Formats: sequence, C-alpha cells, structure tokens
Amino acid sequence: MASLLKPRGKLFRKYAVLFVTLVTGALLANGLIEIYFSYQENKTALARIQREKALAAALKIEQFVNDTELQISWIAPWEASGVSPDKVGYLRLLRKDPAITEVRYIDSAGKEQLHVSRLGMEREKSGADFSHNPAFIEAKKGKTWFSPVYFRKGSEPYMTIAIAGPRKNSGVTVADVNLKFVWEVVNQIKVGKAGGAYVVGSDGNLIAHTNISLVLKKSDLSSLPQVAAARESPLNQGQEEVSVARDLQGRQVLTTYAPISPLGWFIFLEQPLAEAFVSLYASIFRTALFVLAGIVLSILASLILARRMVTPIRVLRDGAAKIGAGDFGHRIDLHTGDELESLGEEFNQMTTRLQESYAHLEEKVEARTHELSDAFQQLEIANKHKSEFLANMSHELRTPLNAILGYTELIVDKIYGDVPDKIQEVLERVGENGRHLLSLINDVLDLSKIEAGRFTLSLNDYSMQDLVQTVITSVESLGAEKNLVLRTEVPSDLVTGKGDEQRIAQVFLNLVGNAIKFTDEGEVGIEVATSNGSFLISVSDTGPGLSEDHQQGIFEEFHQVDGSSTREKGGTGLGLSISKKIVEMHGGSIWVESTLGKGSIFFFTLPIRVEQQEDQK
Amino acid sequence: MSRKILVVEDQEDNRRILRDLLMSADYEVIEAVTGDAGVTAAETHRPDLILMDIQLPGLDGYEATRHIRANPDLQQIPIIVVTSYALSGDDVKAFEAGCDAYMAKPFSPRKLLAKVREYVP
Repeated sequence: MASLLKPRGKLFRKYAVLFVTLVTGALLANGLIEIYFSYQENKTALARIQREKALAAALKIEQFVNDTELQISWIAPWEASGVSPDKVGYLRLLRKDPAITEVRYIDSAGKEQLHVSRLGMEREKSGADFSHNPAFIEAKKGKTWFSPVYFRKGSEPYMTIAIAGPRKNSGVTVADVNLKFVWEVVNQIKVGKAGGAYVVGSDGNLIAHTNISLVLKKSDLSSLPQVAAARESPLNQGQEEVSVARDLQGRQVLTTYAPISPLGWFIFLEQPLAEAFVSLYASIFRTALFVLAGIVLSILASLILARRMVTPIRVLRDGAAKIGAGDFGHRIDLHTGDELESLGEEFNQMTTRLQESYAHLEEKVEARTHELSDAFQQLEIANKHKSEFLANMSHELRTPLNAILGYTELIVDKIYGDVPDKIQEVLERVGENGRHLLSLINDVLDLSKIEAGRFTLSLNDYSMQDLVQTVITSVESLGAEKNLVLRTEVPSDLVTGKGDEQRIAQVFLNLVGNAIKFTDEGEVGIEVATSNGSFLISVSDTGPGLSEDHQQGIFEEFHQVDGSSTREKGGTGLGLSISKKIVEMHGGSIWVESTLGKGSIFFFTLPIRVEQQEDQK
Repeated sequence: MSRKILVVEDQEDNRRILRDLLMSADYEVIEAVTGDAGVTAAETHRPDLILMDIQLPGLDGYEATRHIRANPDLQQIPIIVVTSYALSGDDVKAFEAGCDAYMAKPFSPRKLLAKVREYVP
C-alpha cells in the first residue's frame, strides 16, 4: 500500500532517464561532430586563403627581384668589348629602376671600371680590387649572385646583385638594390586585424616585418618551429597541412608560408588564433546553444512522454491493487486506445466475473452456514433432550431402587423379626448389588447433567483436612478388608479452601476407591500440598499400574483398563471422567503418572479459592 | 410417653420404610402425603421431629419448611430434610429454608435412626 502513496514510481524514472539519455546523447554527438568538422573545415579554409595570400606576396617579391635582375642583366651585352662599360646604359638603369641605387662594373680581372650612383657620384677606372669580393667570385661562376640583406643608414635594407657577362672575359655588373619594396609588400599584407606577414632570409634572419625594429635588431628566427620546418623543406609549396604555432610574442597563431625562389627566402603569414577562429568560436557557441536548447526541450518532451506512458500503467496498478484488496466494484478507466486500454478492459471483465462468482460463493456459504447452524441447533436440542431424558430416567430409576435398598436393610436389621443366617447373607448381597446399581445410576445422572449443562457447583468454604478425614472415614473399612495401609500426608496449617466440598469429596472417593479397588497389597497414599495458589493432591497406590496407552484415554467416558476388570471390580467407567469434569469446573487439572507393575499416582490441582465455576464445553 | 415424629413423604414405599423403622424404635409416627398436609399436621399434632421430603406434589419440602418456621409455635421443632435429589446446593437450600439436618437418599435406615436420635432421644 505504501507504494501507492509514492508520487513517482520506478517506471517513470526509467522511461524518463532512457528518453533523456537517448535524445541528449544524439544531440550532443551531433553537436560535437558538427563542431569538430566545422573546426577542421574552418581551419583549412582559413589556411588556404592565407596561403594564397602568401603565395601572391611571394610571387610579387619574386617578380620584383626577377625584374631587377633582368634590368641588370640587360646591361651586360652592352659592354661587348669588355673594356669600356656603357656608362649611358648604367645611368639609364638607375633612372629606369628606382630600387637600384648604385651600379658598378668590375672587369674580368676584378678591377672596378665604373661606379655610378643615384647620389650623383661617378667614378671611372678607380681600379678598386673586387677580385676577392664574393660578388665577383660568385657571379663569375656564371650564376646571378644575391648578397645577404644588409642595412644602410641603419634603417634601409639593401641587397647586392651581381651578374657576369655572357662571355668568358666579360666583366661583372654589381648593383645595390634597395629592398624597401619588400617592406612595402609586407606592410600591405593584412591578415585580419592583428595578423601580418614577415620575410625570413635563407639564413633564418628576419628580413622584413611590419615591426621594423625587429628587423633592425637582426632577429634570428631560425629557432621558431615554423621557420625551421620551412627551411628543412623549402620546396614544399603544396602543403595542405595547417600549422598552429607560436609567434615571436608567444601568441598562438595560424601560420602559413610560401618560399621566395630563387633567393631561398620565405614569406610567412600569421594570424592569432583568437582572431582567426572568432567566427568558428561563434559558430561553436551557436551550436552549443542549439544543443542546449535541444536538450532542455528533449528533457521536457521525455518527461511528458514518460508520464504519458506511465500514467496508464499506474492507473492499472492502482486499479489492480484496489481489486486485489477486495473492491470488486472498482473499474479501470483507461482511454489510451492501445494495448494498455485493452489490458484494462481485460481486468474489468475479470473483476466482473470475480465479483459474480464471489457473490455466488457468498450466497452458497450463507446457505450452507444456515443449514449447518440449523442442523447444529437440532443436534443440540436432540442432545439436550437425550441428557434430560437420562437425568429424568435415572431419577425415576432411583426411586424404586431406594425402596428396595430400604426394605432390604430393614430386613437385614431385623426390624421385621428374626432372619435365618442364609437369607441374611443373600439379602446383604442384594443390598450390595443394589448400591452398585445406584452408583451406576448416579454416575449416569451426573454425566448427563454435565452434558445438559445443568451441573452447577455450590461454592463454599471448606477445610481440606476435614474433607480428607471424611474420605478416609468412608473408605477405611474397604482398605482394612484388603489389609492395605492407608497413608495420609496433609499439612496441619492448610488455609481454608473455597469450592464444592461434596464434589471434591466425590473426586477423592473416586480416586481413593479406585486405588483400593485395584491394589491387592501395599499401600494407598493421599498427599496434599499447596503451590501457586492451588492445592496439589496426589493419590498413589502400589497396584498394577497403567500402560502408556491406557494413560492416554483413562479420563474419557466408559474407559477401563479392560472389559473384564469392569465387571470384576464393579466400576462404571464414568468415575474418572466425572472427576476430570469436576476438577476442571473448579479451574484445576487432573493427570496420571504410572509405570506398569509399579503402581500409579493420580494428581489433581484445585485453586484454593474458587470464586467462579469454569464453563464446560 | 413415646415421641411423635411427622413424616412428610409422597412415596408410599418410603413412608412405609420410615414408619416401620421409626415404630420399631418406639416412636409414634404421623404421616402426611403432601406439603400442605404436612404443614397442617405439624400445627395439629405438634410433633417432636419432622422428616421432610423435598420433592412433593403442590407445596415442596422447602416451602413447607418455611411455612412451619413461620409459625412461632412450631419454630422449635427440628426438621430433617430427606431427599433423593443428590444435587449440589440442595443442602444449602434446605438450611436456608430453616431445616436442621440433611439426609440424602438412599439413606441407610441405621444412619437415619442415629440422626433422629440426636434430636429425639
């Protein structure tokens, strides 16, 4: 019943948890997968754009260098003779290409033949020795030589380009090129708001950076992992891999690069992740919001669904409990339109049938009970009639018997004159048999009165000592006839009892009479003691004793040890049964302890003060 | 002078036994068959002792005893109740009615005589 009072059952929790787990699980998985892929795609897309920018910038710088190189290389054919350089051509070069600030012509012997400068300083045939200059040595090997970047006036980057002429004895044209253009290119590149570009030389030194001071400090970036990686595989242009690294300031950046050939430079484009992924983060946040909203909705939906599933089951359960508790008038009211409703219907039909059969059963039981009680009443009346008949009958029997006994005794007492000895003896036998018959009738009378419920005790004060004395007096002669010792042990300080003295005496007489009757030698003892507010009386003998079987039924009506002894000893078989009833009516009990061949002890208890008669069944 | 004993008893045999017994002991016996007759006889004959049966037609032994005890002239006469009712409580009822002794049937004539002699030697 306690479970009925619980507002939420286990089933509801189970369903709710199952639904919520399923739905939120699906939503969460979906959200996480979406976030993962959108992160990857976003990163790749960002990187691709960045890389394109890097490639474009690299291309620009390359073009600038190539253009410059081309301009310089065009000069070379003019000094065909190898002796006198084309001064006009050199000056035109200066005019044409604003990045070139100075041009020198070194002859094949390594001597400076011509030096023109944007600053207007011209020198011819200075003869300065360049034969050990790397510009001359490298260019003479037949390849355009690019010097490392260096700075002039402390703030402008320069590079020297040296190109040898096509012939074997051709000289070398050495031009100083201002690389401010590279700076401009770098400065023009914007990656988002905080991102930017920088150029690293083949030696790992910073060549161009939006922050010029970093460049002027000649920062060596070869230790940056992205720079190191680029230098290790300079030709890996098609790399799809997106790197996340730290920049000089230690910020996390999304970095891409493009090589600038043939200089062996690299242009890096970097954007702080915090900025690059702003939109990604926003989209993640949106997704999370959607998932959260979805979860909340799904929980609500699950609760509603679980409730809808569980409510009819609860109605079923409560209904079943009510029906089980015997409320057959209860009907389960379900309108779910599914199996549960039909289950409820089955329940209702079952209950109806149960109710019908129950009502039928009750009618039957009532009818049978009525019949039984009628029969019982009739039986009781019949039994009472029988008992009354017996009681009346025995009374009617006693009246003539009393007369017979009276006359016989008068004759024996010679009231009517002398009697011959022989007749005297016969008359005594007549009296004896008459008295036996009378005691039989008396016993039957007592028993029938007990059964008719007309046996009432007369409760009065009595003295146990006197009672025992009376009993002894009336059986003395019987004991003496058989030479038996009559032993009594009754304390002299016994309290006054209350009970039916005459009936108690009847019990004593019955037990002591039996003891004397069945004992041929030895003694019969009567002992009285008190314990727990009761008299405990024992009547012992040294007779033949009783077997276990006989002890069992000895207090039942018409029971005797065997049929023969009844006739021989002259008992009715009712004495013990009547004694038992008398003792029980006093609220006491009676029992026997005996060993075959060693005599018997009959015990009975009597409450000392019996104030009320115990009912007999 | 012989003593007078009133026997109130409806059973003829019982009356005869008592009569034979008492007369053999030299008592004068007056007999009454009903309770009413017993009361009348007690008033008329003023016996020295009354033997009263309980189960009598009309007025029963208890009632007859009460009537006799109600008469101050008869109050001193000893009454012995003789009954064939061996029921518990009969003796108490008898004493309550005002009798002096109680004797259950079957009485031994010898014992009855002894009892009578206690009151009327």
